Order: sequence, then structure tokens, then C-alpha cells
Amino acid sequence: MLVTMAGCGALGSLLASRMIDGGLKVQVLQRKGPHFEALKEKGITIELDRKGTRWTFPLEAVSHDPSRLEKTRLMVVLVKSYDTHNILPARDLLAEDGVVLTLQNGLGNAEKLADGFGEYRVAAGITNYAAFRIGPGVVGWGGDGHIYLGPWQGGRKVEWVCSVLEKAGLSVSCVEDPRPFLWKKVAVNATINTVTALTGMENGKLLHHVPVLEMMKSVCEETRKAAERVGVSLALDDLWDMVKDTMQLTAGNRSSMLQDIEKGRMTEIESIAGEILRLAEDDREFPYTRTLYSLIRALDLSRSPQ
Amino acid sequence: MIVTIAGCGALGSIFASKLMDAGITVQAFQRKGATQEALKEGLTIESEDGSSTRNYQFLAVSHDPSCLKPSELIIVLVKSFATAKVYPVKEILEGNGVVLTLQNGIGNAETLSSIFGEERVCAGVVHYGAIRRSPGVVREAGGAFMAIGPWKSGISMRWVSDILQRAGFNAEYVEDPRPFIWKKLAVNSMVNTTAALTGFNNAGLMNSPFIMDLMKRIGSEAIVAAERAGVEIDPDDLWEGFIRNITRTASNIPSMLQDNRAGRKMEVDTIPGGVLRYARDGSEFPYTRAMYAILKAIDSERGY
Repeated sequence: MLVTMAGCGALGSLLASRMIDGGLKVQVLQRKGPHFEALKEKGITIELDRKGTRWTFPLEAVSHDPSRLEKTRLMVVLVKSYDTHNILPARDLLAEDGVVLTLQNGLGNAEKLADGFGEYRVAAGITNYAAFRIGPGVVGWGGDGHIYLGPWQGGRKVEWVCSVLEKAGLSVSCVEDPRPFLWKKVAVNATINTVTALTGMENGKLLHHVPVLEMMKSVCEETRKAAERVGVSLALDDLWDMVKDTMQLTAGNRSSMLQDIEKGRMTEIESIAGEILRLAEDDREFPYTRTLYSLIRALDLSRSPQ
Repeated sequence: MIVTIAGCGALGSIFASKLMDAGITVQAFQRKGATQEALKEGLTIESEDGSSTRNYQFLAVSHDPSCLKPSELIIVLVKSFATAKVYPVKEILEGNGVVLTLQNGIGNAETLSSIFGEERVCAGVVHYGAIRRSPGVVREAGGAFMAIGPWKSGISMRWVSDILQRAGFNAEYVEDPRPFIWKKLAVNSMVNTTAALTGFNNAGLMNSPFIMDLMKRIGSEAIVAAERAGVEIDPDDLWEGFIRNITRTASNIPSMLQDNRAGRKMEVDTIPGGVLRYARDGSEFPYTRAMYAILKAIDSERGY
């Protein structure tokens, strides 16, 4: 079976390599640049350890132009959340009975894809597989994780997507409603990604500093309130446990937002903290999230004014 | 007369140079390290645009008071977490002498009072940019306003502001320095914390609407803290004064950002921490608290 990977950055490359290893064929929709050229020439290279052991995984096709790719039943979207709208021209690549699956960070991606592809064809999920970019075409393995995914439109069946990915060797759970999972991931991203981006620390180091942990817990509470306003009811303890577990499980990792800040790339702050703030009742609500948002938004704008 | 600068970092160096320009003899009480070594050879001050430099020689530079001469005026400019460490200079303070703190944060005048006696302490604020280029080399970064006054009310210390005016500082003498110290704390809490976490200089802070909004919120919390310490600050006054000063010192790199870049300890406990001391519970002053928490994590991770 052929799968389309829309956005084959660090995480996209890692998941694609797993799929190829598990017998799936992968074609890539990717914007132009050095990474695109490298993928086109050599396929995906995964560095497995610190000794530099590398494996290469061949791709069926790599293009920036959807019309040069084949129609598929499964498209996995892993572009940065501020680029999601750029995937909409690829709607004709997806078979009528196909599924477009977003595993991106942040909120608002499934809604954007539903606008272009039709809600009935959208699935959404989260993953804590971890990867980091080493160079064009080369991605480091940061740890295996799990994928939770489910249909964006209630009642739709997407179990076949889970079995395809599972058969390829990925660890996947199918859920009825992905929204609570997306919100949990947002709590993780709104706390760990933001604070690591501002401090330059690896995820696990935050665990040693009590004032910052207290602040992160306050951000979880603000996230919980925001989720409640869109009908997603979550317990603060569940969110906080997930944040703490993530810091422990990914202790040595540098978060994607920290990687973005270090490389001078735009961060995904708008689709993370920005989405929480849009649900505030007034501009005095959610002060902790607002502080983190303001700092990182200011950094983003100072690098690429828009 | 001999003036002693206790803590000859970026700002202390600017003070030393201006006093020497006015023909006043200056010595430095300076802890051991690269800066002490460099200052023994001489101090270099670069003009704001970097086009010219001036060189200065201290009468003496030492961490040992027995190597320094008796002094009528000691200006304390060590980092606010190290204020108590200036106690050795007590033996060189002349009987009628004054210890002037122009440090950031709150609690410095109180610490100095416990060492030197309240009636010897003069306190105030200075708005002057100074950038440490390398040990013994400092660049001016604009500004000049200063306000000083006696910590214990009723004691005249006008002669201290006279000396500073002679050195070219726009030094205002005030009866009570507390309102000025609190305003400065508010501004420091706004400017230093945001600069340290974004890497922006004053101009960068000013040009970011997100940071301006955040600074306004942090400032409002400091105003509430000041009120609890018995000092009224008018929010419009604070904001207008802040805009005036930051515009005047646009090229300045706030000290906490300089410290963060160099991996030095930051004034976290005395600047945002100074405001938080007046919070009634752990949920009050969230903007200041968030900045404090992140900066504290950076400091603790470095072992401070």
C-alpha cells in the first residue's frame, strides 16, 4: 500500500521510515529546499544512535507538486501547523474513501483540513515519537512512542488506518474522539515546549526546578479551562500527569520549539498557546499562558516579521 | 577626597570614569577575578557609538580594605544578591562618610543599614546604560538621570548629590528615596526579565507590541507590591517615565540579559523576587511569577 507523507520533516521522516521498514510504500509531498533535494536524491536517512549508525529508506516519489504524485487512500500530515493550509491543494491526491490524518502539534489543524478535504475524510491524533533534524535528509531517532488517533467526524470508521500503521510496526491506538487527546498534547506543548524554548534546557531538566513546575501546572489549569469551553472536559491531574510523564520519558530530548528557536525558524506558538488564549473570556484571563505566548511570539516576529 | 566604588562592574566603571573626569580620586573595592586584574592595569571606557575610548587609572583596586585608603564616600554597585559582601569596607569609611547604594532591586539599603548604621546610608536610583565589553572595558549606553536621598529621614546628604553633579550626572537630591527605588524596581522587573528571556536590547523591547503589553502587566503588579510597602506609584507616571528612559537608552543591553548571556548569576531574587515578596498568596502577581519561575530555573540549572 502507498501512503502519502505531507510534510516530511524530523517526525515525518521517522514515521515514514518505520512505515517503509514495515512494508508500506511512501511518497512525500514536501516544500522545496535543501531537505527536499536530499530526500529526492537519497531517500530518508535515520541516525539511530550517538555513534552515527545510519539507515537509509527509499521513497517512491518526492515532490512539491501534488499533481506529480499518485492518488492514495492514506495521507499523513506533519507540516508545521502554520503551514497546514498549504496542504489543501493536495485534496485530489486523496482517494474518495481515503483518510487524511493530522498528527501535527497544536489545535486548528483538523478544522483546516476538514475545510479542504471534507470533514468525513479527516482523522486526527497525537504522537510522542521523537525525532530531531541533523542535516538535510538526515534525522535523528529521539525515541519511540505511541499514536492515538480517531475520526474527526463522530461515528466515522478509521480502524483500518490503525491496522495499516500497526501492521507496519507502529504503536497505535484507535479512539472514538481524538479531541481530548489533542488537548492533552496541547497541555504538554504549552508547558514543556515553551519553557524549554525560553531556557534552552532539555525536557527532563525542568523537573528539578520547583517554581517552574508550579507555573507549568498553572498553565495546565488554564488549558483545562479553555478545553472545557469547547466541550472537552479533562481533569487537571490527568493533564499534569501527562506533562510530568512526558518530561520523564523524553528527559534528554530538546523540544521541537527549542529546536525551532535555536535554528531561527518560526515556532508553532500560535496553534498552541495562541489557541488557548483565543478561548479566554477577557485579556486578564490565562496570565501564565499569556506570558509564555507573548515572549515566544515576540521572538518569532523579531526573526520573520509578518 | 577619595571616592570608593564597591563593585566595579559595567555601571560602577562608568561612575569611576565620570568622577575621575571631574578630578576626583577614585579607588575600587573589587572581588578577585578577571575584572580586578584588568582594572589594576586600567579602565577603558568606550563612547556610545564606539568611535572613541578613554583610559583611566584607579588609586587602588583591591578586595582587601587594608590596601585601600580611608574614604568619605563609598558607592555600592555590587549585584544585589551580594550586598552583604561589602562589609569589609566598613573599616575604610570615614567617621562622617556615607555609603550610597544605587543597586537594582529592593532590600539593599536595609542590608547596608545593618552594617554601617542607618544614618550613614544614602540610597537612590540611576538610569544609565552600561555594557560590559570585556574585563576592564565598558561601553556607555546613554541616559543620566539619578535621584538620591538619605535612607533615614532628616539627615542631610546634599553634599553627595553635589559631588555627583560635579561629575556630570543629572543627580536630583530627594528627601525620601523610597518612591524612586520602587519605581526603578518596577521598571527593572519589566525590562530586565523580558530582555533576559528574549535577548532583546531596549530598542527591541520597545519595538515589540507583545513585550510592551507584557511589561505593562508586570509593571501593574509591581505597583500593587509598592503600595503594600507604603509607596504610591501612579501607573501613568510610571509608564511615561519608563518610555522616556528606555527611549534615551535604546542601545542599552539590560544587565540581566548581559548576565544571562555570560552565564553569570542574575538578580532574580531581588528584582522579580522583590515584587513577589509582597504577594499575598501563590496565585498573585502571575506575570511576575512566570518570569521569576523561568529565570530561576535558568539560574538554578547553572548551580546558583
